[in-house]
Amino acid sequence: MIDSCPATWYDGRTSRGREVTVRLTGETLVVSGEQLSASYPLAEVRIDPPLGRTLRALHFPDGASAETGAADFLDELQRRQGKPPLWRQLHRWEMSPRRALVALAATALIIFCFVRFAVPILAQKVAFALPAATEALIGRQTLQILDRSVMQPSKLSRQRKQELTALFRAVTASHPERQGWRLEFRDSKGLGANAFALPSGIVIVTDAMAELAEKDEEMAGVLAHEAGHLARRHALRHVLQNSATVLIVACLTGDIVSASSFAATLPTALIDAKYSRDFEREADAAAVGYLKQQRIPVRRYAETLARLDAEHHKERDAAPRLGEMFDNHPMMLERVKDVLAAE
Amino acid sequence: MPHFTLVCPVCNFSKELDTNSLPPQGTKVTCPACRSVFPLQTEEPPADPATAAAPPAADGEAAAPAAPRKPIPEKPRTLTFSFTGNAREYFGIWIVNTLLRIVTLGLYSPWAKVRKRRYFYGNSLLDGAPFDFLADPWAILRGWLIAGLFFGAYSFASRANVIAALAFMLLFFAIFPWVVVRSRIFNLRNSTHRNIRFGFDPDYREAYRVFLWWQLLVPFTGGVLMPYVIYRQKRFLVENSRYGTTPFRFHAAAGEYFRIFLPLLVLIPLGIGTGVAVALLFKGDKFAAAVPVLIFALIYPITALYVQTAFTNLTWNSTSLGKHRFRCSLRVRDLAWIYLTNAAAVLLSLGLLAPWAAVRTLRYRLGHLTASGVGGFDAIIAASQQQIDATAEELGDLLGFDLGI
Repeated sequence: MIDSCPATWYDGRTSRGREVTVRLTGETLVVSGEQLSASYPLAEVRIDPPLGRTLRALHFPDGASAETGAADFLDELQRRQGKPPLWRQLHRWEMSPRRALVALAATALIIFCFVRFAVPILAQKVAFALPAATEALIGRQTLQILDRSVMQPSKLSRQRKQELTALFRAVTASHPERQGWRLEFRDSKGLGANAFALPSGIVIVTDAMAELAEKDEEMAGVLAHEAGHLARRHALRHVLQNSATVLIVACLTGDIVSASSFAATLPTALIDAKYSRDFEREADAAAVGYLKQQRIPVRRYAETLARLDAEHHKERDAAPRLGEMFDNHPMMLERVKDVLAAE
Repeated sequence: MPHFTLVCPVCNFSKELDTNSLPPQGTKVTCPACRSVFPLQTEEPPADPATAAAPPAADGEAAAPAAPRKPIPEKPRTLTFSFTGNAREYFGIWIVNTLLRIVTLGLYSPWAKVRKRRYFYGNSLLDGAPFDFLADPWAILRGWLIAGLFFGAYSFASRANVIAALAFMLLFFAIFPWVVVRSRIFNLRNSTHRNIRFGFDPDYREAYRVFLWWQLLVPFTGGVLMPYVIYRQKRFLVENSRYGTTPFRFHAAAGEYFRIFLPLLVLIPLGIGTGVAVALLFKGDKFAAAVPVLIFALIYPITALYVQTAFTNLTWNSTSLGKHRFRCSLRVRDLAWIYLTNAAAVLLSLGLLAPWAAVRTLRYRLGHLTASGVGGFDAIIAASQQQIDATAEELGDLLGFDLGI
């Protein structure tokens, strides 16, 4: 066994370094060099835990220290001190490429499970616990932003609006929380034929959507789908889940270089697509349930979805719009299939 | 005519001067070679400890005519900084830190922080000797919790009402200089080199003057005062720092900080002018509207990087420790390339190349820093010990301030 090592000695009072030899004699460490000789009980010497390939120091009780690269000797000393092997274990994990990969896989797995399973549950709990006033505020502000950016006042006739509002009432009649839910009409070039639910019970139908789904039977399916979103607070949960994901990804990747917080955007977008798919499926199930109850053929709803998809596809071919980097065309086909299967 | 040899204590530059034309003892003089400022000493300096320690030998050899009476003046030499860490090692440390932080719900963070910093310090060598970081993770955890409480109270108050939030902001402004000082004390006190701790002498009066009073004046002068305020802040941070008992000295003049902004006086109007010209020339063109945005997106990061780099270089180049003068020669185009490629690599690897980016940046920075002067850093005397808590530093960390120079 090795019982000594060369080291650079610093007395802690001046910065001058001296070449010495540190030797273990029984339970005592003896430091000897030119015009220098000191001995310390091993138990009172603090030894730096291993870290990369950095020099490690022995810290002596009188404030002196000795720096050395003799890792094996120091490990042996630490074993003799009876110190728990915690840091040595940590060092082994850090230094072995295979274990680093295991740590990487474990990290990725934990993050994945958390984002996939824990975040949606937490978001759901929070969404239902949030005071109604807060949700109303979020809904109002979202609507304002949309009004300012992509939506214009509706050009539908007053009669058509009244018909659709009555239909919305009928569709939501069986929901216990329908109070405060309302239907809004907007015109929008950017959004095309579309209907969506905002927090606090706002459903928006675009003029193009009202034209595309002329018959009440078709519109009932669309409105039941949106009512499904409302009852499950999907809009709010979506916002909460995405903020949580952005926070997590930014925490993990953004702490080294500030510019790298861009790295947070790509995984977030991918996870976002997954979240919205789950929500759409749930809302479709709600729509199918309603239609069956009303004895309206589910096929009508599937046709409406297919037509919506075709409409969007046509527009996209004409001029690709920003923000549709993640084409949800396959998702639409899948949804149509699912709805037809439910028939 | 009696002559006097004036020797610069920093770079050892010497010059023969006529004794009659000398200014009085203690006058501040500027070295023509390295531009250090030091007080004039017309009397012989007291014998240095090395010769004083061995008087019998000196006396005994005085009889021998061949022996030199004076010790030969040491030649100035350049000590280099270097970084010996590598991305592969740091990746292991980084991923284990990340995993443990997640598993412990963040409680491991102080240990992760100390381990990361010890790796970086231990691999930063000055003249072959490493630095070390000795902070106690428990102290950092405590500071973390206090800072977290402060922040929690702030976000709660800001939601409850505006006045409470405003009061918190004022409170934060009021304690900010204190936070700067405490954070610097904590960081320097826990940094060692050759078993000697660094230190920072708290001068709260000056801290409030430069970080609150002068800072508050900047908006009222339309920003013109900013270089001066930065100069004062750097001077404050450098001059109160010490290595053992040896203080750091700061030699820059305020004018040099103003000079950094000179190129911007041309660059910024040029950018704005081009933007406006393009917008006017191609009025109504869809793509021309994007040009001013593009110019801004290009000029802003370059300007920020240039100013930051120039400040770092100037501050280090104006700093001396004992008989050593620091020299920092970072180049804007090198840093721009490093940051750009770092961002691309980290982005494309979903963050996995972040350790590589950190190691690479530090290696470049340390590779362009040197200290030159007489002898080595081996005659520094340690200062007495004192414990400092980590609250202030963590407060600074949480609020996103970079408190290093």
